[in-house]
Amino acid sequence: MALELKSSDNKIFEVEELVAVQSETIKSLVEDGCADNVIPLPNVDSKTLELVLDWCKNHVDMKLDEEKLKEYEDKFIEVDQAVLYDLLLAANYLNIKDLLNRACQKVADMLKGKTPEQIRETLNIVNDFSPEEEEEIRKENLWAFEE
Amino acid sequence: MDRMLCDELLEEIFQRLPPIPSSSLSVSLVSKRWLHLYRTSKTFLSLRLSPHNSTIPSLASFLSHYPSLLSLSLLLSSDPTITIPSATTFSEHLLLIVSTFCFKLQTLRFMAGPVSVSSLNSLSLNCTHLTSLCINLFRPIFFMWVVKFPVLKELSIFVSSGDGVEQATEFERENGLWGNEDFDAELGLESLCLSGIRADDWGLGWLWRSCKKLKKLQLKSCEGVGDGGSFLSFVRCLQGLEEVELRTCRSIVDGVLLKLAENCNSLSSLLVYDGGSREGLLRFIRQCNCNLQKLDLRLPLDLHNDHLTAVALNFRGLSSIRLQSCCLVTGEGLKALGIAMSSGLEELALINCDVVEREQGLLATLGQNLRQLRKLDLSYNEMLLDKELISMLVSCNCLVDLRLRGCKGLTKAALVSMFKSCKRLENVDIMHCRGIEAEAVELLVLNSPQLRQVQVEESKLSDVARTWASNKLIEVVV
Repeated sequence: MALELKSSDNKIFEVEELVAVQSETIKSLVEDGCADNVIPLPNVDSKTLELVLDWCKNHVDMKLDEEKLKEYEDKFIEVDQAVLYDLLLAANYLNIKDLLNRACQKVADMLKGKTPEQIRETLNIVNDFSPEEEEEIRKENLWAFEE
Repeated sequence: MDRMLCDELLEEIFQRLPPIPSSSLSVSLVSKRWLHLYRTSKTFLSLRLSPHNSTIPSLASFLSHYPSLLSLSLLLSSDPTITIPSATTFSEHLLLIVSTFCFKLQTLRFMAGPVSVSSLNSLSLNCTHLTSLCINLFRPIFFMWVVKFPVLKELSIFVSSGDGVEQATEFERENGLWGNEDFDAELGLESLCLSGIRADDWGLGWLWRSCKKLKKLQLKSCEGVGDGGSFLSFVRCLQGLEEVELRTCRSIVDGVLLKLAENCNSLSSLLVYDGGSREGLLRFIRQCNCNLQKLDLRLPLDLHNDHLTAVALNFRGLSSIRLQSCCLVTGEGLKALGIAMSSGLEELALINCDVVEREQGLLATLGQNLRQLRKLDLSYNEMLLDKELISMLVSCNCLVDLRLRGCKGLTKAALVSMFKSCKRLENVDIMHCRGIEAEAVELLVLNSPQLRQVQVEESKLSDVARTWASNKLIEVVV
């Protein structure tokens, strides 16, 4: 059974139901019987949707080959930051657990070792702390340790 | 960009950050929104507190920021220059703060000083979800308060000698404030760890009688398990046990092992460190009719070849054998073990066992017999040569976990053999290996397709290795 998905920029993708239901969001639409027509996905653009569907298709194809799947996943997630965030948001919206997990982990790894200034610059965040507030946070953090 | 990442997504990301203070600090300082979300996403905290008077209000305000805590560990940093007037009151205050602010807690490790039994009252009233508790108590020993923690499954108690607090507890006890010891309870405890029980301590009878579901028992530095009557109840407790650990309990090991062999049919894992007699251990191995899966022994003065031969005869189903500092054992005993375990052994550890260095060809023979080994630990064998290790790795191609911490005699050749022979390696520990340099580490990291974790000094990580590891999500523990 094939389903039709429409991206935010009005591109139609035809996919096997088995592939598309990796998304819990789409799965519940199918189960509720709302998937007969084209399913609109206004929060995902065609570039991202193509990537996401590639992930889903490979997860169906390589289900039994753990090593190959892992190799695929490792290569898949090697994308630049803008694409990574798009993937992250799409995985969240479409509720694809393993992609969401992998993308979150990748973002966390990218935050590792960065200073607050560097993180702010990458994500365009404004620093809303006063110097006193910053000092207080640093002091408190001296208590934390990990075994 | 930041606004597009909703709260839940940010929390998911924060939960995947490495648990090191520098990461948490960077994230906390980005913006107020990030600080708030980071704190609400934190489900576990490990804190080291200084015994200062200012610590108490500071801890209160600190903990109030972390509403989602499920697991908390508190240690006191022992700074000899700081003394506070009443150490007891300090610990009790800390416990009270924890009880007040962290009521979702499931796991608590409170090692910030001994507390009295009465201070556990507020803990039991507020933290009703506690399933795992580790606490330091004063003697006299008294356990009826455990009933007040209905969902507790894991309990760990360190017993210390108090300074006058004993009288308060005695009073409560004699006046029945904690219930009547003549009636047993049905505790749901599955795992119990007791540390520091002295020969003259009594009061364990009620605990043994009430623990009807115990699966795991750990005793550390214990000189007794209770007087006369208690001992019979203790024996009954042994029946359902699956895991037993005895550390530095030389005076009671023989008795416990004897009763274990006589009464327990379900034992699957045994650990005995630093104290056990030769005869007692031998008798246990010969008499025990459990299908033991794991055996972990550190008995430098007591372990001999006859024990290993007996293990080879009686415990054929073992999947894991760990031996540390067994200086009286020779290759003969180990080879007998290797032959007997050739079909099932998955984990072998010979830590600081100089027989491995002394007898040439021993590792080669062991390797040939134990081809399906998945975990190997040869840490702290300082004179272990490349040649010996390589001869074993050549046969053990299924290795997933390899630990060689402190093996100062190993060089690059050993690492090359590692990735050539063991293509499934996921975890490697090569910390404190003086003979291994950055070049060798880089080769290992780049050529091990399944590698997930490497433990090595920061200084031995080349930039190439570091980048590669970062890209491949290989965790480097420095």
